[in-house]
Amino acid sequence: MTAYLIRRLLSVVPTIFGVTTLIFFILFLIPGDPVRVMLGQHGDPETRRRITQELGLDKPASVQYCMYMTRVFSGDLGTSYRSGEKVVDILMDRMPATILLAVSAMILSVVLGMTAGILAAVRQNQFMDFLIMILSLIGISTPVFWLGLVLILIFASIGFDGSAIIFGWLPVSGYGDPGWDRIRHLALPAISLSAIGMGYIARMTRSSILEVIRQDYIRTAAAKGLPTRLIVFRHALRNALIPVVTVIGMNFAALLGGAVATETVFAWPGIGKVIVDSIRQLDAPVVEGGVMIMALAFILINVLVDILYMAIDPRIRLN
Amino acid sequence: MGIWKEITCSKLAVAGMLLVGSLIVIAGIGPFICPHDPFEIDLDRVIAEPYGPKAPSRTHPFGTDDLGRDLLARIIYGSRVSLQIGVLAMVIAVGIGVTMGTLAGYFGGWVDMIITWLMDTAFAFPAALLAIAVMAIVPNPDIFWIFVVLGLIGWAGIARIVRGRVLAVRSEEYASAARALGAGHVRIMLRHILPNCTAPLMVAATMNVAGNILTEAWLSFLGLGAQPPIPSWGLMVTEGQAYMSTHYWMCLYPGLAIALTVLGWNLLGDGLRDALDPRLKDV
Repeated sequence: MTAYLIRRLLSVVPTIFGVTTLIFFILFLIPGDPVRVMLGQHGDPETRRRITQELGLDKPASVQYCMYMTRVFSGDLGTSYRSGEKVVDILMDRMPATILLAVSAMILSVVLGMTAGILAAVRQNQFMDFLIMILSLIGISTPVFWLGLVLILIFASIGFDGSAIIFGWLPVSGYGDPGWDRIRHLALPAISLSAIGMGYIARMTRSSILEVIRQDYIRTAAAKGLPTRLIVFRHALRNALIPVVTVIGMNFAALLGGAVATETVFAWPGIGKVIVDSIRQLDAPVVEGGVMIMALAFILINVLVDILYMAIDPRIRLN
Repeated sequence: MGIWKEITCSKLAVAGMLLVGSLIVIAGIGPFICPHDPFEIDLDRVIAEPYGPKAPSRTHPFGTDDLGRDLLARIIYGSRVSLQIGVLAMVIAVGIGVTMGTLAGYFGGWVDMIITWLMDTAFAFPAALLAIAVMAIVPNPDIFWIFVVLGLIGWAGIARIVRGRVLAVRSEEYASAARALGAGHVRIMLRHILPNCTAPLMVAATMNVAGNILTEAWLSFLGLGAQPPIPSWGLMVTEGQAYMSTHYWMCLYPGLAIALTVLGWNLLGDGLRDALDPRLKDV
């Protein structure tokens, strides 16, 4: 088991290496002149040359690549073109908000998605099954940013031909003060961000349970006369859980991408919002740094998911 | 025509075909029968009272946007943008994915190692974020770059499916027989191995179109995709966001168009999978 853990942790190294290299290539290969972005159209040639040198942009690609990798692996993601602050500091500042949002959305989608999936599987080919499957497909197909806007329309204000009727049930923007106020602010962003995951998890839970239900040991349990609830929760669910856990891990990718849109719509001060603000201000280092942090988070989450497998499935532990 | 029968048996798949079919029809003939020009700006709206978007009415069933352009006409033209991007980007992703997947599965060894590493890296990257990373530093984000980005995102999923199938088929007797008869690598791959991948490939390609449309809408929403005045649905939602509390239609209808289109492609993909892959039927 320890050997497996170590192997799994080591396997992260080439992936992280690949991700950082990819970001370097994106920055390097795509035409675009950072110096020009920093100085605007009219910077004088002397300053331009000095900054080009400072950034190492006059060196050959291989040297730039080595400089870049050394920098990144020592935890330096550069400085913002706009504010001059360290990118790492900017991102660390925003991290808690994004974690709070992503974790809340994940909990919502796991709890509701699995419940819906189990319900659909138990009622296979009945109306409930059909309804849940179509709803989860709608959840997957709806753009996150638009869902956020629709939620705002429903919960905060309903516009009708120029005269707005404000319900004001829930706050629609900002972070709120710690405590109850924060939770109220969190509600709508978390709900809209959880929709995609809910859909995927419900679908996977359903199909995974249906597959397990055909196994012999389930038939045995049913033949023994165990009640359906016991069969589902004691025998089927545990075995059906593994593909579901995979989906939960994969779903974090959609969640992190969705967080960028959700945070923008609801003015939630997380990393996603900082990325979008920086896009609008042409602040490339912050954008690339933010993307890299999110990619690393995704890699780590998937390692955690693999470790979780071992907890669920003893067969993996033994092999 | 067994497949056709299977597909038409499933209500969901039929719903998907209807949605996708109507999208194609709208994109094809809509612009010819639409009475309004999607680019025509109503100057009165901009410079004289009453300012702002016009509410839905008989002449403008979905209302107009803040520049007085007919929203329905823009949504109809937007179906072209959406369809083009969804399908062309899928073709790119399938092209790269099939090539890489076949090479990796067929040759194995170091070729497989490198391609698998590339695939793992692509999977390690949340797709939407990779798109941001590229689009944010492209000097003029436009449709061309969207194709590139969506292709870059989509190929890995396709390659993984193809690689798996190729690995399974490579050692089948008919592949060995072809080899014994002196067939070259390319011929074996194209004639004997790839046809075995069609079923899962069609499903993956359909789902890929759905993903592309969603990602394009999302990029355009962030200002990183199609640029004004292109009637991209995602862009239209952004334009409507500022007017949302008072003129709901500007962001409601384009978003609905995105959701319905993506839903259609996803339903179609589900239906195809049920029909083409009997193993997964009822599961």
